[in-house]
Amino acid sequence: MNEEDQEERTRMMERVALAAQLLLLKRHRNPGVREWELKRVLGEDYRAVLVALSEKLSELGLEVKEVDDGGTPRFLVTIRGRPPKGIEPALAGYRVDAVAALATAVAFVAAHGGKSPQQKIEEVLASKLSRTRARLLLQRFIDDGYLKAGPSGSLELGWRTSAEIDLKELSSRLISLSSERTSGPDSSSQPP
Amino acid sequence: MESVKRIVDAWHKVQSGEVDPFSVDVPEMLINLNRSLPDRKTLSELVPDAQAINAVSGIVGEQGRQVDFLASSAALTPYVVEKAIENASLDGLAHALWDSASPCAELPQLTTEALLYSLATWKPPSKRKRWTAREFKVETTSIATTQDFTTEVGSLVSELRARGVVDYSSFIKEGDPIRRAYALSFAITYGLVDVKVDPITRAISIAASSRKLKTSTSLVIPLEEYEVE
Repeated sequence: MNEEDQEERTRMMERVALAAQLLLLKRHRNPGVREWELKRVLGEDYRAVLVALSEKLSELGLEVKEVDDGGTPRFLVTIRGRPPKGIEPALAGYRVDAVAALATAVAFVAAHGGKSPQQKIEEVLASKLSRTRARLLLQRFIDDGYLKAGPSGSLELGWRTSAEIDLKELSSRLISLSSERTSGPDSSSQPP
Repeated sequence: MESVKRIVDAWHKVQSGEVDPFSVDVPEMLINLNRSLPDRKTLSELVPDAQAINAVSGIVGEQGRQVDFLASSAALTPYVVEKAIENASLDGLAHALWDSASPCAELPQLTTEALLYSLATWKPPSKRKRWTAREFKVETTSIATTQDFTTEVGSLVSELRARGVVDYSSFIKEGDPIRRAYALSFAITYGLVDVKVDPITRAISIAASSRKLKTSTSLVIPLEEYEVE
């Protein structure tokens, strides 16, 4: 490797480090960096830097993801694969009941073709939590990007859902959850 | 016209997620529109027709979006979800999501730049800190008895009467600001002093009133904004 190549490599590594700092440091309420910010800091060829960063991060079990946030791309770092087993579910710093509510809301919207009236989702959540808590949590999910307000009071899946949640996996987990219950010993369909 | 209204209503319901786009009979809508088209001659008749066509295309678009969504994401049906939600515990639901998530990785921490920026924006509150940190010892003040205090308020009013209209901020700074502001607040409440606030500059001016005002003034004056040593 000649000196010029070495210099080029050093420069690239510096930009990769800069991209890692940009993507990982929490600076706003919501994670991730918008395209214009990456262009400003890393330059027009920021995607090449992100590919290099993703390769580096894969060694640590992380990856760079691109999601659509209201028509513009947003880039963020997520865990590669699934989170470690045996630890308490704590997505986005939520309590367990909030994570359960998020599962319910996301699954409900997904089952209705990616769009559902807010009122209906609130009713479903209220069957598990109090009405006030359900309303507060729905607003929080919207603020955090898991859901987004659609036309005529409907809610749709937000950019953070597409970044963090594997809907196919969630659906199979929910199917097994409901089948476990219906075929389990405590099921009402079973004879005493 | 009735059929046009029905089509537009159906589109609004599909848009809000109340109605499944596949439950709408699009071919029948188009047949009805086609049948009624020759009867429509004027512009006012043709505009609702165009709205109906727009609504039908919206419904078809929504069907396409839903097919795309279902093909790319999940095989969930409302029935399965409702069953799971009905039967599962909160813990079970939370774990179902946790096991299908790839959470965002973030490093919540302060940078030097953020610290410097925070320090710059913290300047006015630093004055506030001086105010709040200041100890106000009751036993060392001369505001001890009602008689003394009434005299103090009276002397402030006399001083104001001699000076005319005065800026509130500069007036209280002439001496112990807390003591003067405190005594002045009573004079204002008693209607002995008239207060005026400039709506543009927010500058507060005070003047002794010629006769006791019948309505007392209530005004919040944030002392933190005044730089007093």
